[in-house]
Amino acid sequence: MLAKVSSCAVVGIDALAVEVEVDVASGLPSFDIVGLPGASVREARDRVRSAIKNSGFDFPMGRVTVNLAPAHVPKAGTLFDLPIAMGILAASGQLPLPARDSPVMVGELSLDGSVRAVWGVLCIAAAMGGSPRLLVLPRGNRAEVEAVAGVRAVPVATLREAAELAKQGWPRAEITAGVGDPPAQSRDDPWKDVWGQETAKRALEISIAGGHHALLIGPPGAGKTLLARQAARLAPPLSRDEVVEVSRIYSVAGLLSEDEPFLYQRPFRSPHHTVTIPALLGGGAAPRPGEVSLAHRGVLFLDELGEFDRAVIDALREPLEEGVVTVSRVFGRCVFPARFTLIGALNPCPCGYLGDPERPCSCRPAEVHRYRRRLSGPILDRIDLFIRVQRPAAGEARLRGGQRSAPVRDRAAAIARARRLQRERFGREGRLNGEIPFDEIHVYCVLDREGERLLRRAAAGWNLSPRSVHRVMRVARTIADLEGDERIRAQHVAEALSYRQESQLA
Amino acid sequence: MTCRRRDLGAKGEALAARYLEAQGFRIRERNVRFRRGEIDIVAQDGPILVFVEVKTRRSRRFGSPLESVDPRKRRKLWALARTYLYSRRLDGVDCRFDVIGITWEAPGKPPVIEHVRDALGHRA
Repeated sequence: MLAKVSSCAVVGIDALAVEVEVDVASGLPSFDIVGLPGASVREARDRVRSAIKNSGFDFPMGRVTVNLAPAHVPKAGTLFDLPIAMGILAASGQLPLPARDSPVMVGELSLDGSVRAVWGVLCIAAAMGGSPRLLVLPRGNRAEVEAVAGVRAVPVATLREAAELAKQGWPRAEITAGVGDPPAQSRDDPWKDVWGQETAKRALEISIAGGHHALLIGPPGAGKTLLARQAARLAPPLSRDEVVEVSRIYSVAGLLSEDEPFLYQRPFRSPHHTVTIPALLGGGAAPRPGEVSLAHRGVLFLDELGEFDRAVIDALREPLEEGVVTVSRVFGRCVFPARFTLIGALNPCPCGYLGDPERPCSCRPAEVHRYRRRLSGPILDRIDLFIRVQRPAAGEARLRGGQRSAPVRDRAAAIARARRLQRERFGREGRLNGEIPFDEIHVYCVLDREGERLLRRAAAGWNLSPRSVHRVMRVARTIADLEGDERIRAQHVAEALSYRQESQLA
Repeated sequence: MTCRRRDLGAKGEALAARYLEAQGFRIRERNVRFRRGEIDIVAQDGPILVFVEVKTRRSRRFGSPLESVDPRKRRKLWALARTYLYSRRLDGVDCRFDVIGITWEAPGKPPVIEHVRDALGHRA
């Protein structure tokens, strides 16, 4: 007999409807799975067989053939266990044959017949929001689905339970409400433990407010890492749409748990400098998101930027430019979102003390040159803010601890306002000033006469490329937004120019 | 193969056949020879056709007789069964593979019979 059960595969961060067809016929006993199953899918055979027996059902005699349609798409993952088992039970007459609009099922089976949580359920739920069909899923994934509104979810804990429900008729499922408001975040001052460094703080606030890529340059112990980490916390919390968007990536990466079913916090990722290109951009036979995607809508912090492989840094160019990363592998080509704010940290020279007012630098000029050259021009060209960080003078930290110029509440409010202005400007898509395409610069970045003149003079004096001029204009836009100014004035342009490479790496 | 060993095998198979009949199986054929090997017993358990492999040993020193059915033997039995079904023009019958292990330490001692139903499972 032939039975068809609906299921879903996860390709990249999208769901693909898969029909699980099971045929049970007489003959020599065999159990085949066709439809380009990967190793994890082929192993379903042994799990399904044991789970069926240990749930008190009979594994049918004869020839069992399972087809995963569409058969030309390679399949990976363990989520087909449950639909295959349910299909075998139906095809061998132990359950009624599923109707056309029967539930979509996903779940991994344990040998004892219990249903285990799988990754990527959030992506399937996102595809099924508002659909009248039921989604039968592992109980362990129940909380994850809650993020998407309008899913009719039926969580099951065992194969036995799923079979009983199929026999009695599927229940009226509870419909998910969608992600609620994020829990109130503790609004303590991120700058609380960072003494001094007012210029760096200001520049990082601009970076976070407008999504501008920044590079912190300073000697060891100046607090570059701490500054970056704390700056990431200045960003306003993710919006509801962004929570689902970011959580989908984490769902596919298998980084969500029952206790933490989705992400409210803006991501902050800091891969080590030994990171490989697949780990950074995404990879694997069935492509999984890499660090750039895990940092989507958050901060990607690269400490010791000079130590990264040049190839790794250069690989960042596509995501920096496009906001997405394309991964092509055996199991297909996937596009993962990767819109992050890059914050890099760098010593000014190999020993770290070049330009330090107190400690002499022990590097030879050639060494400094080689060190600098490791950063390719194209990457430096994509950095908006070059930030010089000085070591606080000895003793200053302890003596003047906690002193700060503007109350942080005002600064956080200014960032929130700047983000709000950008939302009004670009719509709900969540674009930031740092992402304004060059052909729209003149629409959004309107300079006053004074600013125009200043920029023209600087461009001529420093020999700035048109791309660099655009970067200055975008940063100036954010500085004006922080002050709630619609027009970009000369002082905004002046500050933006002060973060140029030319004024920092002289 | 020495005479004694062939003898032991034959005695074991006869014993297994008697045992199966006592269990309500109907013996269809014994020692079905093909070019690549032999099926010890073909029996009928109700509607199901059962291919039986019999393994007899003098002692358990080299493990239980059942342990001698390894993946290579499995593949061979499966191929033999397919040949059998073709040659007897049987199609669309439910089949099963059983293994019977007999430990017969001395001619005077009572033999120990272990019967595993559906021993090979489904061919992957």
